[in-house]
Amino acid sequence: MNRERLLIVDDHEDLRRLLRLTVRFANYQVVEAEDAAGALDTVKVWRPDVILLDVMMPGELSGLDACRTLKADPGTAGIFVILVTARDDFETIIAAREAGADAYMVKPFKPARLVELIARRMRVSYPILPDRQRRPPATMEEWR
Amino acid sequence: MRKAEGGAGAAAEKRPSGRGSRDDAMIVDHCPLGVVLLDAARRVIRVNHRFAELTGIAAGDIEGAGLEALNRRLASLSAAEAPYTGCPLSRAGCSRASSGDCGCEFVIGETRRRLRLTFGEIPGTAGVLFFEDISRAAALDRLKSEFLVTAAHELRTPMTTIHGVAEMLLTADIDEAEGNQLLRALYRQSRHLTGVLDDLLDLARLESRRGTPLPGRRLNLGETVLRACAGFAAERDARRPAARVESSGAVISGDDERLVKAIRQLLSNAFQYSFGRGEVTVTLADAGGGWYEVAVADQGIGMNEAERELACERFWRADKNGAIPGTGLGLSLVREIAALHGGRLTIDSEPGLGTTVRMRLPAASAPGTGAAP
Repeated sequence: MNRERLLIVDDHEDLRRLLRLTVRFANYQVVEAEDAAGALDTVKVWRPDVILLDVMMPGELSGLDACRTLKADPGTAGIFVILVTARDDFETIIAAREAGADAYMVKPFKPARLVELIARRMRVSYPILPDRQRRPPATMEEWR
Repeated sequence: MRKAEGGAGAAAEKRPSGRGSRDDAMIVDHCPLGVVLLDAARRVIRVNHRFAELTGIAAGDIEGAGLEALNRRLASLSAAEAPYTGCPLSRAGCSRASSGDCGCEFVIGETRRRLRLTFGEIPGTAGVLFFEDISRAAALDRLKSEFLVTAAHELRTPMTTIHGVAEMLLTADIDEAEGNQLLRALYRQSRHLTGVLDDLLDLARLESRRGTPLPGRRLNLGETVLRACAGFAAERDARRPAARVESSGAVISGDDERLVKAIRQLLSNAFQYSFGRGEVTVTLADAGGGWYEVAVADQGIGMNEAERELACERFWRADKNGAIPGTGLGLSLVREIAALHGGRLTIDSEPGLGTTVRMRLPAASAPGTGAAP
């Protein structure tokens, strides 16, 4: 069975580590990029199913620019793009929609919600709990 | 001289009915707001100099005209994207006519001044319109909004890691090696967050003093430089700053503690962005004309011209991936400290060769007697 592919794009290494650990139970293939240009380069050689894309990153391209580029190209328009950002101002939310983002998450977010969002898109069963988890949550709400 | 606009109707309205008492005239003329006085028949009986300055409408062009003519004139001068919609006093039954503040803001097309209209009236006898220039307040509002968006990003990003890592440590089975990595991330991000908050508060305190000199005392700048260097140790870096005091008699009026903080901030940047490479020097020299210069130089990664221009902006960082600890507020703080001493900050930098930040401060004997050379 082909493992589904997830690309994490964020300039903060600690946050990338957290996101990687958050999704590790789902057995995805995970690749990371630290800026928008790196993400676009990666997509050319390794096509992900889902991209977690930070909006405010250093470099000439923002996450919104990368999203626009991906959605404008028929070859990559089908990739499910989740914008992850600390910005919740009206202009950014409208810009995210116009850039074609499939989902939008504002920091700080609960990692479990992100997992849920990815899982729904990837159509894997959820919750995906690790075998070693000490105490499985009794309900979805508790997990969140 | 131009006639009041509005054709024959306006001409019929134009019946000057007196200019009020000499005291009234003096009060109106000295008012910092643009003022238009109306009589009981809603005719303009007086406008002050400030009104003419704000709108470009000369007193002689509008005095004696009716309020409708004034409305038309202002509407024709206003910008399409922020038009003047008329004073409520001219509209019978307008619900806003009793409030005094109709919320009317408009922009004069030619000068881009943003004006706010308020009014008062004694029904059946007189009315007064006030025009306030809110261009600066509007610009500050915009800057504040931009700053809040950036500040929110800087505060929320570490909070995301802190919250997420804490949740993971509490709910998931993490092996020891991973747990230690997560704890280190937790420590780094909480320390970063504390640093951002400390710097933001310090910056706010300094900015609130803008224009008010720090309660300084005479101090020997050479001793301040040596004290800043002596107590400085860069993290995970065995190098020490090399201090050169070429002007041992440099006496300025200032806040010793703030200056030590500024110099250490410059040292911290110099060490962090030179990755153990080359020497970091601090030089105090007489810059001439009653000014002294503290220059902190490194042989680090340097900055290009565009980066140099942004370097003192809040939250801007030369480190693109967050590998170097910092808040992006350090140089903003140093610039504020220099400004509060009547000085200024300049930056010379070349990519790959290094950066020199110069803080020029006026000598105590001749405080701010000229522009920093």
